[in-house]
Amino acid sequence: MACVDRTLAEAPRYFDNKNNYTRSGHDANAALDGGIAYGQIFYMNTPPSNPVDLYFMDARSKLIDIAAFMDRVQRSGETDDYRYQMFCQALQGLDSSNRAEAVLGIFSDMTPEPKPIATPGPASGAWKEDA
Amino acid sequence: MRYIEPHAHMVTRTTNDYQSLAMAGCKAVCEPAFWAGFDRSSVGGFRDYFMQLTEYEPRRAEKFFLKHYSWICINPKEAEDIGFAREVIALIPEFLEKSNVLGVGEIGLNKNSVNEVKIFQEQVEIAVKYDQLILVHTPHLEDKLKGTKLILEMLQEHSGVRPERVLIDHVEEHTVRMVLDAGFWAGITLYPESKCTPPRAVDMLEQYGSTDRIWMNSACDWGVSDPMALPKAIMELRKRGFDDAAIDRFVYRNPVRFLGQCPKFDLTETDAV
Repeated sequence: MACVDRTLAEAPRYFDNKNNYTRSGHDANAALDGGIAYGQIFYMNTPPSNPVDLYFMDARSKLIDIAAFMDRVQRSGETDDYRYQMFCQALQGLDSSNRAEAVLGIFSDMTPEPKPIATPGPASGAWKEDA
Repeated sequence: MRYIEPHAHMVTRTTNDYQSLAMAGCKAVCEPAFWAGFDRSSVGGFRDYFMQLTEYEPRRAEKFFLKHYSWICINPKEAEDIGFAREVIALIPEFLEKSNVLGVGEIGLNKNSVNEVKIFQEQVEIAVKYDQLILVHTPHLEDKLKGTKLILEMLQEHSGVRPERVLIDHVEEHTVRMVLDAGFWAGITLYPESKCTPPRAVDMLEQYGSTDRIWMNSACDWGVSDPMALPKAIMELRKRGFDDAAIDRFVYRNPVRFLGQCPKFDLTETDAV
């Protein structure tokens, strides 16, 4: 059985013209008439919580974990490991304005062409040229 | 709160997980075909797996008032042997006829190899030929950026592919924008270690959620993963100030809108429960 396309214009509408959510119970078609097109509304009913309040302790803990990881690798004498080298490079991504994207990019394979053959084993998390 | 789990490998999970999903508000679970953790030794192994996805798992889910849908394909990790992969691809049309199959997936790339590319293209061709939705797996970790770019190029070059009928899964901060800008749907996978945490997922929803072409999933399987990841993300959304309507859109209505392009996706019975 083939799937048929339904255009987005046919999607149900859920909001009235004052941005109130009008869907009631399980009646998906309750707000079809006079509603605002699906997807045009993106709002919060309360101001977003302060991200520092929400995440400071968690981020602080992870930062200390990173520091302790680097100490641990140094004590074990494994700082030449390519993954650790990439890790240290990725820390420079923190100077970017889009830090998460920059860090992910530093760990990534930036070569454009498909590989001749799939390398065995799982991805390591850090790109290595001859892997 | 009601939600859809649009990507979960339930064959690897216990029945207790089905119960937990149902109790948390899940209305339907969608299961793409994937790598079993080992390479299968015969085409018959795939036939058995596809039977499990289309016959057995729906019954297991039904016990907890959950609808179960599946996607059929050969995964990229087992695509390196082209001859073998083509024998599996030959099975796909038969299973596309099954009542719970939503389309072809999760096809994609794993290590971005030449053979993976060929098998990806051949399965896209099958999807187009049979007018199916497509679910795309993007590679792990350091291979994700390159793989996502290759996948987008191939999909955009194919005149028969309609972006609104393709979801590209496992996006992260470095790939989400290019997927959405190209007109495709994007899936954010919530994993405890790799892929994305709930706070990062909500960051992306804050930046790109107004596009509507985005959802979250747990992609729970046999690895380090969490079938309760979506309820945890819902809690994260609440912490960040999203109201019930906005959350409902991300975790229920957006998946329904994409999956509902396949007429077999029908939540009428579960909505009534």
